[in-house]
Amino acid sequence: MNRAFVAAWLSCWIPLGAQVSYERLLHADQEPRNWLMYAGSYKSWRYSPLDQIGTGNAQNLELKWVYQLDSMDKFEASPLVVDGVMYFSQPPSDVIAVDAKTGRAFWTYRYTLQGTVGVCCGRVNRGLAILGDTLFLAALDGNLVALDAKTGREVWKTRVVDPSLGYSLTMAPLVVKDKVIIGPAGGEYGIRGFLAAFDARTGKEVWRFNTIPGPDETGHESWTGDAWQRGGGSIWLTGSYDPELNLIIQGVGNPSPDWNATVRPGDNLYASSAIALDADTGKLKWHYQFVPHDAWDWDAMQTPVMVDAEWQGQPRKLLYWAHRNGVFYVLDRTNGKFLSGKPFAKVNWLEGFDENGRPKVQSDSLPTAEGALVYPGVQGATNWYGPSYSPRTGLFYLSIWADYYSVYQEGAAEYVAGRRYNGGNIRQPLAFNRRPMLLPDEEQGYGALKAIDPKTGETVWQVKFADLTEGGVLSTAGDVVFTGNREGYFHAFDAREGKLLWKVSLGGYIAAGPVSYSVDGKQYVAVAAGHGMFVFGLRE
Amino acid sequence: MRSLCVAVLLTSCVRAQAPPERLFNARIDPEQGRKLWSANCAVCHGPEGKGGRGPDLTRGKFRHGGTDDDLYRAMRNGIPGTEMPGFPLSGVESIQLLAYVRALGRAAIPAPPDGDAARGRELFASGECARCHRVGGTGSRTGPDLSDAGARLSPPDLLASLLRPDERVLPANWYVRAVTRDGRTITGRRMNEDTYSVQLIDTRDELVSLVKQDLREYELIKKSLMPSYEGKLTREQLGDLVAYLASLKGTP
Repeated sequence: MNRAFVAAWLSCWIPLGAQVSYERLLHADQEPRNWLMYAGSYKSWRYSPLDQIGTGNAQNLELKWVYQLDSMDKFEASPLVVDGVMYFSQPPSDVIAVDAKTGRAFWTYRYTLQGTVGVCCGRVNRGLAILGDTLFLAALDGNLVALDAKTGREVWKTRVVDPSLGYSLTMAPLVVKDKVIIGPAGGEYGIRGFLAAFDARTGKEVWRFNTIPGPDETGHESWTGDAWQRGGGSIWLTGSYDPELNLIIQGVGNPSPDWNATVRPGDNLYASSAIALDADTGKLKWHYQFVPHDAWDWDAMQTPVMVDAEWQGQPRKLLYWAHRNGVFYVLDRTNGKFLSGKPFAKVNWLEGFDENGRPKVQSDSLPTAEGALVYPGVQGATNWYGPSYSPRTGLFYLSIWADYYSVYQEGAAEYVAGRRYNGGNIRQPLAFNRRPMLLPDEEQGYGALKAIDPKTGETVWQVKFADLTEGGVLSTAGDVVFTGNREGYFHAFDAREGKLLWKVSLGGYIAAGPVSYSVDGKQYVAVAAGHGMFVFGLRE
Repeated sequence: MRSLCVAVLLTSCVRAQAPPERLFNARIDPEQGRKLWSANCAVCHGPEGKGGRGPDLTRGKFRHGGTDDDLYRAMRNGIPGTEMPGFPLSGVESIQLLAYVRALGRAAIPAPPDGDAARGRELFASGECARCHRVGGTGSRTGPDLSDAGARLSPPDLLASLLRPDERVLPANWYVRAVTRDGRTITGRRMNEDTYSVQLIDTRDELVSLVKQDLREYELIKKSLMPSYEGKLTREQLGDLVAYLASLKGTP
């Protein structure tokens, strides 16, 4: 082998094989060809700087490949794309690596669940994280798993939680520096939640923040008696990271039990809050509680979207948060200060905010034994469905459930370890997962894709769907917004006006967030739909 | 009493349209309904519902609309231009009261004489029924399949369906009336619908799929296409028909 050949070979090989350093993660938005973390970058915009697919040619999109799962569990995962290789999780907890251009598999990692795992909402997994040559998977039954990204072989496995107590893991991990950050789901099982950091090389726990503070921790005074021990505060969606502030910003789940709040008097910190933790120590820097004493299961499990922008004439480090409770919030992410809160869907629980941004709750919206009718309903005016922010349009895009209510009925709350701990019932007019879809009246609620001007909280445009939607949203530098919905349509809309540019029926429920990437200079858009990963590109 | 699983209404909003709701497979509590009636309604409509300052509600006829939706609206919002005020009922109270008002109306339907199922069957087959309904694999698919009607509905409910078909139409039986760009009118029972298309079975039992964008008109009809048989059939015929329908229990 001559030296010139070796040099040429190396020059080809190195960029492809380069490890995903922390430095690369920090500047993920400077690698438009890749999708290196759950929501695209630490700012969590779910925005791609690629612009080959634009408003003028989106109608020429066509299927490039599809990868069919061999799992019938709900497919909520957002893929990663690293230098031509796509990695995604197959529910409940498998991992698949495929050629991002053709969809042909390199390897499959099969994970065997141990014992029974209690899950409220499906045996799901929302995605992976990568650092160096290592992929990280939070497996449903409580293990954090590190895999060799080249071969799918296990590097280490750490027991994080005990599924027999109602804990499970469903989120895509967040990697910050040399740590892997996750927390457990289980807010319907009376768990006590936390966010914890694990050493990426060894899997050893480095720090832990209890989302439900114990007797020696700040915030414990917001609990009465021993309710905190089973107080919920789950974590099941990836947070964001601000490198300048060195803060991890994370939403915290509902307090347990969900609908019987009388057994847990107090504000129930840090349930249904945004928390900001020092990335090195896990120490709390600030919090903002969206729903003090939450009685509706309105957890703050939304992607925190970080934008630096002017706020009332001043440049500020902002946090945009479209909450399950129906309100679009703008916070100052240096200190958690409430700047504004404006409903983006019908709400009847909120009277307004006091000067500290604490919501004034309508007294008749608390669950009662006979039932309180509250907008939004239990699934929320939005939920975990990834929103998107485009720096080009300055708009915030999200899936909403409009005019949607539930009747929240308070009931007995008896804690039995590992069992459901809801403390009541929910009744609502909208059916889930029914097919064919005999759609309800519009008055019972409908799904929509909405574009909000974050400066005002006003709706700029909205596209109504006949059915509800759980689709994550992707926006691109081509000024195209992509989203799917429960009907199984995957759409491209004009990011500025909401005009439909293209759609395709994928025939299966779409709940995941789409991503965009490129290989060999060609842009692709990928979305999990039904039980397949579908990838689209322009017709040639 | 059957549960009002279909179309009881419930909302806290004051706007005119009440969202019909099918959330409650609510257990109907006649005692609570009676108490609510006594507390709110009896002063005008009479303790037995036979009327007074307000109209008689035992005849099952309502001047301002007799669907659950209409009744709900009247209860919650009042009836403009009349003395009927709106009542601040909670969701569950509305359901109980609505069920009670329905029961008042049901009571007024004179029970038909015990019918003869065999005669009812003949009437069903030879009359208009089989033109739209299907039983045990014969008849049209346009209307709801009645093969298990007797398992789903009690004789009084079967009778009420014959006399007041619009009272309660399940979403699965809603109709679509569409006019294509070239002027063809298509009517059929809706089987599935999404943002861009609708699938239906038309009046000739054909499966039809339409793209909404290609339609000139599109209407979802939530009322029954079946006429009321009040006054069209004799009491004996109604009795026979109900006996026949009640005997239809589906295939085990």
